[in-house]
Amino acid sequence: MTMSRRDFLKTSAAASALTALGAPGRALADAAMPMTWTKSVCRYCGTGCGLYVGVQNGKVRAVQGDRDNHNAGFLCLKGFLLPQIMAAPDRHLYPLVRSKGKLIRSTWNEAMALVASRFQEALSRYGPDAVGFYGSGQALTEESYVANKLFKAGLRTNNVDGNPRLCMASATAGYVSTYGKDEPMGCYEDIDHADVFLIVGSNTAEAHPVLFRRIVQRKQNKRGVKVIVLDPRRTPTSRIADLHLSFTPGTDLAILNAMAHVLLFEGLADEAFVKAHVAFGEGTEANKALEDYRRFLAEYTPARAAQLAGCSADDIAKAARWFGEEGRTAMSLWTMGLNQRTKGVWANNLVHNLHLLTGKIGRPGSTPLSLTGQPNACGGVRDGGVLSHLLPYGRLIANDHHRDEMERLWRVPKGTLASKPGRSAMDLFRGVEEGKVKCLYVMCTNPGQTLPNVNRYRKAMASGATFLVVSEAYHPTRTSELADVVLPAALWAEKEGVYGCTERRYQLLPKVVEPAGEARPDFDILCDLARRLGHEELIPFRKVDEAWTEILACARGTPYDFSGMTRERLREAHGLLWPMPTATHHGTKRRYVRGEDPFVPAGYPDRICFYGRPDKRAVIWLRPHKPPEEVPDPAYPMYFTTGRVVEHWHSGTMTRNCRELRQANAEAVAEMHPDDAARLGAKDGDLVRISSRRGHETFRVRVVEGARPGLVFVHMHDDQRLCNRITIDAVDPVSRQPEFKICAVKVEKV
Amino acid sequence: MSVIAGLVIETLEGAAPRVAARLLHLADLEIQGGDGDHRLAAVWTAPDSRSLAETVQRLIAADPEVLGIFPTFVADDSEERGD
Repeated sequence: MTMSRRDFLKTSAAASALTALGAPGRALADAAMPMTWTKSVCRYCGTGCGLYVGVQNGKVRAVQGDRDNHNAGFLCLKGFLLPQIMAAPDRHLYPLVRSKGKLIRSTWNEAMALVASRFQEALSRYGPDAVGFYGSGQALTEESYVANKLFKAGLRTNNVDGNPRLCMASATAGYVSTYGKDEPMGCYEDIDHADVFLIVGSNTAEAHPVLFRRIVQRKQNKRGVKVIVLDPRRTPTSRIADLHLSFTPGTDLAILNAMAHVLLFEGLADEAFVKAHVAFGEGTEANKALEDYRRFLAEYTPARAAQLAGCSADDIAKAARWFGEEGRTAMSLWTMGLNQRTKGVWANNLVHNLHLLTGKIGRPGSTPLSLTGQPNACGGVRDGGVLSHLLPYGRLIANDHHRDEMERLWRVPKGTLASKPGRSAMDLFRGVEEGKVKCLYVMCTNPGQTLPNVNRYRKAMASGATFLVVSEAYHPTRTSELADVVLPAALWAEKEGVYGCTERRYQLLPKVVEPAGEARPDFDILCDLARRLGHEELIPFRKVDEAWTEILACARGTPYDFSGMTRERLREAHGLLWPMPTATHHGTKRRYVRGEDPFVPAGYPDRICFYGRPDKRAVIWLRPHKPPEEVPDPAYPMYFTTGRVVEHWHSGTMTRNCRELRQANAEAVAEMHPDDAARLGAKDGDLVRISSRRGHETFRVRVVEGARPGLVFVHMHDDQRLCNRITIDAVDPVSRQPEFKICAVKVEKV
Repeated sequence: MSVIAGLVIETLEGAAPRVAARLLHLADLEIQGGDGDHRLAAVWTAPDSRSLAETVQRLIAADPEVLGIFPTFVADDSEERGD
């Protein structure tokens, strides 16, 4: 019997789908495309799905999910289409240098010599802070490490920041202020034990579909599991909600305080846990007591919060009672809806408050867990300290002892590291605008599209006052088009390094194919730049694993300690969770828990030890409701927000290169309530102009029954219709994260 | 060239039979099986340039009982695959 290729593939497709349901058929699916399979990690979001890369004739041909990793073999559509991003038509293949206004082909030597000379000139004429580095939560850990070391210890500037500032800085500051240390204490496995999910400001179904699937599984496997979704929009996530609490954008601080009010005043607090493990604070000092908190919460009745938030008081009370019910576990999940706010840190604190007040933390199924947007924002940038106020593995620029430690580890003279934090992301680009940052190196990110109030910063980058270097796998992007030099960077399976995702899981990405064209790994490019700038002794690496050895030394003895993650172990494992201080340690699912976390002594008298703070107590913060920076007024009467769709990712440089995705939701649309559309006289497909005080853009209308009246939502991925011409660049005063999620606009039919 | 994909369709609890019934009208989608409750296995074949992602988007948007669609296999059926 013969079988056509088409029939063979259809049989294989059926077998693979049935296998996912538990039926046999894997071998047939594999046989469809005989190739070499190598274990790796997805390039997209912060879920960190394990996968196998299939290589045939030196090309990435396919991927399949890793059944032995946390994702149990599942990938989202974007992950499955990863092979297409490798050989895309706009892969950037050779260096470009701007000459007479145009980017023209150059050699690596010419381009790198130019970059080195311009940086050298800026440093000698204007000093260290005339240069800067803007990195990415998508770069590999070793790449971010080399950049951090070169700029901070070599060029002696702390102007090192990156796009995680735009997505996770408030989560970081929330963890640090509450527990004394960054990063979650829980893990994905908690999803399998949770009785109540509180999902706040997260469209998990579209932004983290594989984790959403796990939540769905939990809900299906155990009767009585409740899902509470706090989101102004009715999203696909709310389809599994037992309670969807829609509210006026920016009023969730009042709702979260009102939930705490119900917990405290209805006897749902765990008083023994609070007494043993919790401190109370206001401002920046933990100098309050439970009675102060009680007085603070007294005014946050559900009725008052409901009035502020435009929702039901009964729903707030119901959410609190579900969360606080004795004997049931509770897990909270959140993303940009909380983080991208001028009160983002406070909002994070208020979620932690609910767990601390009820003691629902540190047990399977009970944990706060912030979801991450990028594959290595946690591992490479947050943990690695590649932000303007940080040094590696929990150390601070402003801490004398921490600088001393890093100077010893980096073998540079005492006093080499500057004591003043550098410019954070928005300040870095304001430095470009002011002409103070003379040279900026942008790696693996697209600020010409993704910064808020982007017109302002595009104008600054295009002015020519700053020498702009962009290292990118694609060209043109909305940033590379503004650059003076565009370096071709190797992409994903073309290079080796470590990714660290949401749950402190570190995983190795192996190199399985050669880079396209003349592209080089960013690690090699940065080492080359270091040599050209005279810092070969500081950056002596010839291989990526040499840097990893040094990284392990930097993490050793810190609360992050992952000394046990040798290269060999990473290569074998399907993800490892830190802390993991020795090569025989099995990793840590739950931090701060005796018997799980190696930093809690076996003989510690309590089950929990919040060792991140000197008093071993986590802090419940008294954070009042505050409105967003900009609220609607007669001139700009609607709320504006932006977000992801399931088919695309970030600025779309990768997903728009997949033919299946290019046609799906590639054009950003403006979703609005039927009443708002009717008021404008607009119907599906009509064009509307959306204007804020900063800029405007035109979108097609999509009328959505579940939209909240008065709120317009626009997809964030479109490189031609830039939603960030409209968004606001006001930042949280603590985290310096911008308020992408809320501003005021007017909408007019075109 | 057309695209062939294996898909797992996750539905609300108990909704798989209803969702399967509603999908019958899609010529490009063949239901291969399911667990009888909340999961369906399907093969999607595009005879032209219509995209897998468009279908996924349409199904999720149009059917409130569909929670997610996860590919398990994607390939094109061209005999020769040039670079």
